[in-house]
Amino acid sequence: MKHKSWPRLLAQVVLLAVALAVLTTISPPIEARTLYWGSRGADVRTVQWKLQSWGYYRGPIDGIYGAQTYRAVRYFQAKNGLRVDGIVGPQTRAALGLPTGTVSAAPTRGVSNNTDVYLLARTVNGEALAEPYEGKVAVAAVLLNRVKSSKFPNTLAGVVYQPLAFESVGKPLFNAQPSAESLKAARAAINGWDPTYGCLYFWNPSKPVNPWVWSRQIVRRIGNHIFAK
Amino acid sequence: MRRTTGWVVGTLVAALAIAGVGYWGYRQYRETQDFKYFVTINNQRSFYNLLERVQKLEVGLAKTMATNTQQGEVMMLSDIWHQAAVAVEDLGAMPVRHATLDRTHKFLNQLGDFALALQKKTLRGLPLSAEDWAKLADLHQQAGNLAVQLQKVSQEVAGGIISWGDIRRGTRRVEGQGITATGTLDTIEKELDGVPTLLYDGPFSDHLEERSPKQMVGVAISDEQAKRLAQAFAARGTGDNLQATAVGEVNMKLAAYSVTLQRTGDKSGANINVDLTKQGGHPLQMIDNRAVGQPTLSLEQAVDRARKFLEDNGFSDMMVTDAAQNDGSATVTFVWKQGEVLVYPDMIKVTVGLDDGRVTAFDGRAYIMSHITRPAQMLQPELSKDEIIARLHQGFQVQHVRLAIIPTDGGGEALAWEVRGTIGENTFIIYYNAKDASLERIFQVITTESGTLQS
Repeated sequence: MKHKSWPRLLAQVVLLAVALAVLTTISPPIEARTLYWGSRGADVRTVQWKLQSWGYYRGPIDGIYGAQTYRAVRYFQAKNGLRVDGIVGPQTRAALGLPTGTVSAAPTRGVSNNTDVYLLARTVNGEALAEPYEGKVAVAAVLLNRVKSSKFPNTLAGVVYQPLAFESVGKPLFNAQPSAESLKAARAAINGWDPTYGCLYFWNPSKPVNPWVWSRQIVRRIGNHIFAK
Repeated sequence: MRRTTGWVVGTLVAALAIAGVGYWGYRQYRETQDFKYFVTINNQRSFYNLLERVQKLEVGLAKTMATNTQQGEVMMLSDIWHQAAVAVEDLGAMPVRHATLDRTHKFLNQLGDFALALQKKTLRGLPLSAEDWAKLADLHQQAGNLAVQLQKVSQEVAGGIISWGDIRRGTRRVEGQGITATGTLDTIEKELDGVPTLLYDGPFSDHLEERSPKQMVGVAISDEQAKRLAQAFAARGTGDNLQATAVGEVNMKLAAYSVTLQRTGDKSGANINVDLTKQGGHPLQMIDNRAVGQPTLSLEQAVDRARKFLEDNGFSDMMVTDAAQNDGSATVTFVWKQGEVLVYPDMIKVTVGLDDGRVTAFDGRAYIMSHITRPAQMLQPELSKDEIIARLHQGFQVQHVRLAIIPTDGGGEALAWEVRGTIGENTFIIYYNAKDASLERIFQVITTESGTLQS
């Protein structure tokens, strides 16, 4: 009797373990929590790592929200036009490029195109940081026009990372946290604004360019860039 | 004695230094080589992938013409569509300047898109026309040529005549013999130039390259009139005292003026740009780059402000379909309503700063391009609302059903029943053709922090 129940017990234990494993993997991730002085955990580590890679934080990446992290967060908030309170709430979280909870908590309800905004904003940052706001929207619009054009790759990443297409891609300015204005310009372009009316090319005439581009139909000039179809 | 020790020590130090530098140099060299190999294999992979896809496309097109059943056609066409899409990915990863291969890009994209359009046509039960078959035969020919040329490039690279580095830099390798790094690629492009224009019901069709407005009222205006119109237009949205500082031109099929305005006495360097059509002076776009402060308005107040701006500028019967909040501003989407039918192509977007309610941006391009009073019979559905509801997925909870005119892929318009509702936790907006109940579009509504998003 006793040795008979052994396999059953074992089976039950295995079943329970499997059920637990399944439950932990499929249960939705916990809502993104607000981080402040004293918080600990993997999410704090992520924030520290982000701040460090952008040069706001020099302390250890230990997952403990201490004085150094607090100062770095305040510095980051001040630089990015956020409320300077040293607390990582939804807005700071979004500015850091971290999931803000709405999306990660409900993967079945669809995924927003936030990564597109960032990729676009980073390219704008790299290509048109010194340009006026309208010039930034225009550069972002050219990238989106390329995605829609038959002459170019059909995804934003395909367009951005097309070899030899953009000089700045992969360089420090492109990898840095995009400026608030670059982000705003990227959103405007995604919302449909296009000061270039469908242009596919832009260049700075004072820099050496492939002479081929001058054969394109020039639509207008915004800031230091010429935009053409 | 002392002297020799000094020599020995000196030589030793020098030898060590040289060995150290040598070792460092060797490490650097190894690392560069590693990167070089990595880049080379990536280049080769995308090239050989491309070659394989193009060969499959050629075969796929040949097979399509050999099949004589609708089911066979759909199978073959969907394979062509798929192969063309991945070929474009590989092409986009090739280490060449875009101009070298932009015609090839267009060819592959159009081929896939055309195959998809024919697929949809077949699925709707329509037979392919003689013209469609002629186009397929032509595309088959071109795909064959492309495959042959790409094979030639692969032989040139394999034979060491040119390297990927040469192709990337575009430098000439074999002087005097007229062989250039991009020689064969240039030939490909030239041959593809002979491909006739492709007109069909798809987004990459040639007839969509540059369209003209459906209806354009008004007479040509001067740049002085443009200044006054732009100033009045922007002032209705901002309430500011504005001065025109410059007038430029936008050089496109729909000719336009671009007017730069500045607030009287404003030293911040902020300005407003308004683009208006030369004929009639209709506003196309406006962008104000002023800094937007802390939000004080609600989304509802911003929507009211945007609506008033449109009404003051003479746009009537506009209905709000969407409002989203971002960067301290609200972007409101309006569409024109003809009777009880929403006309989505006639869309206008207005952005309002949530700090003080002044309008910061306007986009009326879609409205200007497509606005026209649609003929009455176009607004008459052949299927009733109830007939559409009866066709819905089981468990679909309907929120609303209304009539709308929506744009089609090929630049046309279709009357559709817009059904909004939920299945489980997901919200969808589905458009059914009001004539034959075929599915035109489906959107999933995603709620984000900034508002709802349709994707």
